[in-house]
Amino acid sequence: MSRIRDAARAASAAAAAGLLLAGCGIKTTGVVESGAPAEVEVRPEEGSADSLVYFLTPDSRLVATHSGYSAPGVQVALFRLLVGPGERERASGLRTALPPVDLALAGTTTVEGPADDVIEVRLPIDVAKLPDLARRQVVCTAVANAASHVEARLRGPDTVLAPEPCRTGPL
Amino acid sequence: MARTAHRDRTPRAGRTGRPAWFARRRRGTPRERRIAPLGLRTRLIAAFLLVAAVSAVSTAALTYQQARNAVLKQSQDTAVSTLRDLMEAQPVSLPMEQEQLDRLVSELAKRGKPHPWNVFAEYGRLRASSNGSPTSTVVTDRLRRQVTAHPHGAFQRVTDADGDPYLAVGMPAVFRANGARPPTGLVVFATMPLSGERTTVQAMVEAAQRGAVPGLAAAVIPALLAARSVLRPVRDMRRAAQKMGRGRLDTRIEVRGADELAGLARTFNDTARALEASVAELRDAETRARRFASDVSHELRTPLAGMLAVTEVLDEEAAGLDADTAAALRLISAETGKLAVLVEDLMEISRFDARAAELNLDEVDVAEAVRKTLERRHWDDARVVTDLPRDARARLDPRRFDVVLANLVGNALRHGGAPVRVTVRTRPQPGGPRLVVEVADSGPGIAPEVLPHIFDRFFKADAARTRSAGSGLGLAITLENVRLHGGTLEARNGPAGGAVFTLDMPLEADA
Repeated sequence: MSRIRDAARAASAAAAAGLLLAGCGIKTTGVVESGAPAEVEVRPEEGSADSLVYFLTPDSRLVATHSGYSAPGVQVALFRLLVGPGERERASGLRTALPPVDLALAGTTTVEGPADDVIEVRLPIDVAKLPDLARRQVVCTAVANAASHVEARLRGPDTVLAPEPCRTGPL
Repeated sequence: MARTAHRDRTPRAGRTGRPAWFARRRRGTPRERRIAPLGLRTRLIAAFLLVAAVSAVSTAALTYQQARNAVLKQSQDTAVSTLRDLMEAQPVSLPMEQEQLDRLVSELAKRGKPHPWNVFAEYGRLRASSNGSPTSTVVTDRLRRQVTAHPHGAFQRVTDADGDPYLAVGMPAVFRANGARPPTGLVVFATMPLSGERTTVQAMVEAAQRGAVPGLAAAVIPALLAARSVLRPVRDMRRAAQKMGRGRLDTRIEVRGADELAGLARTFNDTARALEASVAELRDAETRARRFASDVSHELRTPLAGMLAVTEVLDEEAAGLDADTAAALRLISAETGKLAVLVEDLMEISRFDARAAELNLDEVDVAEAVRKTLERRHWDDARVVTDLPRDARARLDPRRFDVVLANLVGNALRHGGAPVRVTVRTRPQPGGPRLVVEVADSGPGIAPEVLPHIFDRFFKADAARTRSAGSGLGLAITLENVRLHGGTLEARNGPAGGAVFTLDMPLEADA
């Protein structure tokens, strides 16, 4: 009886020691979110405007780049978007989901507004069948060069889409 | 079988004057000072050690956990905020090019905090690192997905292939434009080994161990003190109980403190006091009773002596009287004689009770002494058969030996039956040679239920026979006489059926 009790004591002591040892060392963790992202200073290249154009990374995220054009304005930015990534962008792996557009046609893009916090982008291409990413590229480029809280409505020769805000996150 | 026999009701244990019922307890030899494997002391020490171990272990564990987490948190927070601050100090232009990425990485890699780190930068499909390899082995896909999908800093503790702990920090870069914070697409990872933290943590464990062992050793001291404080009163009490068992009824325990053990000691003392009082009372009563018997027999002796003288005269005159009167006179004469014997016996037993009986030792020839005893009682005919040794000399009290032998033979003739066989032998023994006298009768023996009481005073085997020829004290006096010689007397039934009394006493009795 007492012997059993002693054995239990020894066992509990061993268990405690074991727990202590098991808790030793540095354990691995999952991914822990920790604070804000780094807010870096982005400088447009000398002599070029700070217009932003949204292209896609290889893993299909939207990222903003400077247009590289000296002329500012949303129309220039949209033109730059429709022209597609240049040599520098392609070297970095950036791409676009928009279909290739004739340069002359691309120049006909206009923007109206904002009215009631909505700007209307009139594209020379059909908008109904645009891929989701392509549509978001257009919206974000248009919004980025207006004001952040506005939404953008796309109008093509075929139809008008509902206004939507800029979403850069994953699909 | 009717037999008048008796036994001393209050046997004495030696000459200490303490009744034998106390002496009986002496057998239990004390096992003092032996540490029992599961005694109180062991159990108290074990309990103390257990408590100390549990508290030491849990305190150490909790402290260790807190300290470890604090150390790690500090390192992680420093790493994350350092990486963020360094990135924010580096202006970038978009889209980024390989050259710019390389420059950024080399700039960041210089200033790792709290430890030197490796920096990996990703932009689009561009990769740059401070250690030459394009991607890190300790940056997991989950961390990469997390920081690319959500614009927040993040970290993860991982182990590399060798099992060494690493901290991987992921930091996406955003920029402010038009009131929004669009992602630049730049993500920087920094990885640093946590070997310093591991050393610190290891040191904490070792410190806890170093602290716990002396702590446990120190716990033994209060355990021993506590065991002592409990065990000393217990030991005192055991000793006191043993002393009381040996008859020292005046034993008391010193009462210390006011705890349960002190209460027990007080109860013990009260009980001892009560016991002592009742034993003293019993002794007094016993003494009074004996003195009364002694006084009564003394007082009876003088008138009886007168009566005996008168009855002798009356006996002589009886022949001249008529038959009825003569019979009555003879009856009175006979009963008076018996009364005189009874009073003599009572006085004798009183002397034994008062321990006033003394041995008058003399060197005697045993065979001669036996023969004289038988002759004096006129038992030297065929009723008594003797088997005596030649030249056996003993040192004993001849008068008492005569009384013993006469009582045994008379008893055998009266209650047993002739022939009575008296056998005397001497027997060597380590303590000195012994004299063994055996008196065997040819009667039907002693009933088994009577045997234990055969030496009791006034013991009547047959309740119907209230009147016996003897005083009822004969065997009791015989036994006392034998004891006075330092011998023993036993009664049993022989194989042939008759009663056998065996006397065993030293050949050389001590005065």
